Amino acid sequence: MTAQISEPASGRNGPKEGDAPLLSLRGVSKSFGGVPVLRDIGIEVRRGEVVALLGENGAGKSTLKNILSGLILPDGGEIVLDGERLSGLTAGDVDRHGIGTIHQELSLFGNLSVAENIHMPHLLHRRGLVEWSRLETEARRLLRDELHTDIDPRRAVGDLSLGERQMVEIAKAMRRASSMLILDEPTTCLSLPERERLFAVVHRLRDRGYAIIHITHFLEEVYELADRVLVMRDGVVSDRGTPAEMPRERITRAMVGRELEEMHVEPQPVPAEAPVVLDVHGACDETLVRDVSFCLRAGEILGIGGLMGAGRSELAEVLVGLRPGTGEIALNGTPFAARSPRAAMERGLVLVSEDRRRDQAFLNRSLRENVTAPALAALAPGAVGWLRPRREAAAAGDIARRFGVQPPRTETAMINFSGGNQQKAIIGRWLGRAPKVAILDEPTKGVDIGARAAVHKLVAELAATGVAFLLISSDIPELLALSHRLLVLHQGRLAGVVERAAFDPDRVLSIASTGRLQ
Amino acid sequence: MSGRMSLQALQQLGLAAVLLAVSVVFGLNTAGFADLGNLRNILLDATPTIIGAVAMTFVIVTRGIDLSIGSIANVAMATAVVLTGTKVGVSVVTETGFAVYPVALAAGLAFGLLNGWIIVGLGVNPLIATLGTLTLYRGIGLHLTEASLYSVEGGLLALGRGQFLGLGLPVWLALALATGGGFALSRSVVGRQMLALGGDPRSAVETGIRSRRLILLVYALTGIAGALAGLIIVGRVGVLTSELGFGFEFTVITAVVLGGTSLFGGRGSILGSMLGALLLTTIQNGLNLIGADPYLYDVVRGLVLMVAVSIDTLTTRLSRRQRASPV
Repeated sequence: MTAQISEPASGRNGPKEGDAPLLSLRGVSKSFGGVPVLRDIGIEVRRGEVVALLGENGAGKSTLKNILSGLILPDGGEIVLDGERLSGLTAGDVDRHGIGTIHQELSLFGNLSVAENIHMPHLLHRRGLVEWSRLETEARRLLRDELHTDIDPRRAVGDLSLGERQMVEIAKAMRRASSMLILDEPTTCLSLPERERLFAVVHRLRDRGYAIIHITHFLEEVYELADRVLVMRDGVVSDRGTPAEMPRERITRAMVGRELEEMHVEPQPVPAEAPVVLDVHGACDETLVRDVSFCLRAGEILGIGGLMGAGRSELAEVLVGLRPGTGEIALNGTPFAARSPRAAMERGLVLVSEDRRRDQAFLNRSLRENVTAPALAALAPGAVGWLRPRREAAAAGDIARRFGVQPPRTETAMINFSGGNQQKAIIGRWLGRAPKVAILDEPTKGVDIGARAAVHKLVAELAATGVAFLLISSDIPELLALSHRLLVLHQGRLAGVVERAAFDPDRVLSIASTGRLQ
Repeated sequence: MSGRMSLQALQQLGLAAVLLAVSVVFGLNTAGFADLGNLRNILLDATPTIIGAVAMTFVIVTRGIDLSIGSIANVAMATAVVLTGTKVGVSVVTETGFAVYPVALAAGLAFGLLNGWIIVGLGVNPLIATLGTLTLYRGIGLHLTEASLYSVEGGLLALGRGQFLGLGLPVWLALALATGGGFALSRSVVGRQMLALGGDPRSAVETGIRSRRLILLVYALTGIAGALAGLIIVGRVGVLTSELGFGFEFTVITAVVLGGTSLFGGRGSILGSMLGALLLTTIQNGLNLIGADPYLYDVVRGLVLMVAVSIDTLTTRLSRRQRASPV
């Protein structure tokens, strides 16, 4: 067993016309529970080219990635891989042909060492016993020579930072890849230098003749990296071409399926006399939030940016009392000391957390119950507090309509709504109660472009009525579109405050990754 | 790796210290505890638990649990004795040959594989699956023996009562299995894959680890270990009763958790499991010698398990918190 990054049989430079493609899919389809997810997919990937794969959530990108990584088998169609005709790829086929995948959620084991992670499941061994020294030498070589990082292969992955883990994931995929590398949105939590290192690797591998499939939703990366572009929508390839042939508008149209009217939400200026509704001084928790201070005025949308692990969600949790922490916090001018989510709610501070499906939605309960859950006391007045179903349904229906939940059927179970509508329902649950301060943590993560625009519009409208927002997002365009001001966190500290007039995506990313205002 | 290993080493060191302290206390206060004969007895008494705990460690590191291991000891022995034994006249005495060994082990393997299949094939939660087979297997055992007592003679006694170099054969067997198991878990490819699977099942799938196969394997191991434990117990006392293996799963799981294997999966130590088994046996032996109320032993065992589980939860939380800190 060898761990070399083997050179493909013939070292080609760049794609050539007439070459047999390394991979071609013909008429590949897949359904889950009778719902077609992929329909009649036909694509070709050649050696020495980078193919960008774009599409909204639910377009079928992940399913396609899983088919190409040998995790699921298609229902129909044919896959030709390096001349071999297959009806689907098994884990064995993927290994044999040397396809490596960088998974978005990282396929790592925190309890094992870096070296083991990179080689898993094919640990180098002699008679079944692992040869640690060879494992570590190989891992060190990959990390140092290919990725230019000096992560110690003997460290436990669980002790690494997120960026370091991402590097290990890349090394792991490279260890397996000898002909093709699939990258599934790998840059979401990388700092700028790490991103550049990854792109350098992609270029190097392409020049060595690897075929590369780059799944992303960052359009800039398409123009920076790709030789060809594939756009998916509703389980089919909706458009394809070279980056030169495909300007942004064409790609967006292929992703969304209609001209996206440029929904430019412009927040209304905050009145000069607007009172400070949230004043935070020296917020800390045990590890992840360090001495953060800011104030927020009525009607203001304050964006909070930073890389993953910068402490943004943790800060929100400290503010509402979900996470123990210290620091002086005042709500509407009076101290908010004994913090708890319930006390926060009573004083008009609500948190719509990041992982709504896990943390906040009751998926098998009705839309009505999901929307009215925190408001039951108000809906059931009196000493005993009997619920009045009709009144509750009316209140729920009202919120569903105001927040655009489609369809506004209050008795349908939450799980039957799409992700975007679940999102709107949960946002409606909290914002429908007329809070004074609302913290939104990644409000549009995992929702489609239409729902995203609707959420943006809602936030801007509510802000205009005087609701103050803390908007946490990894989506820099979203932050820049909505916020009046932007706080950038770096390793738990406030690294910089940017005013709307000075908004610039590169600057924000640079502060987030270096922690320095430049 | 360094940080975690030291945490585990610390726990084992602590466990060894507790074992030593308990032994010294009993040794100073209890007549007969420190006799060579009694110490040998403790070792011999501990062997079924050690063997069970070695196998159970593999199950628990993959995030599983096998509550049916005691019932497997029972049903495997019932199968083997009823199938291969010959009744002497109309008495309860049953003559056995050496065929009893392969039959018991094969039965243990079969029942263990059935557990594994229920878990990976039907997708039943291991706790519930083996809670079901705990009763099912015991029921089959009772049915086979008609709940009557078998006094065994012949080949079956060879393992339980055999001696080698001054120690009982089961002691050597347990040592060999623990050594092999220790190497397998910490140094073999399969062992590392099991740790990976327990550490993150989703990553295991994405990495191409054959999770289903590994899970079948670990339950096959507890099946075989259950049968071996049954062979040793019946071989020593010379009697197969319907009580065989009752509560065995509790002792085994307590020993494993006490030894620092995490019920959250992905972290485990065979050496720890062995020390845990020895500690539990030593406590039982000492309480026995001072003539303590036999029911007191259950109180102690229950308390020990609660302490072990609390330590597991605390150390897991601690290591997660350390990891959560930036950079």
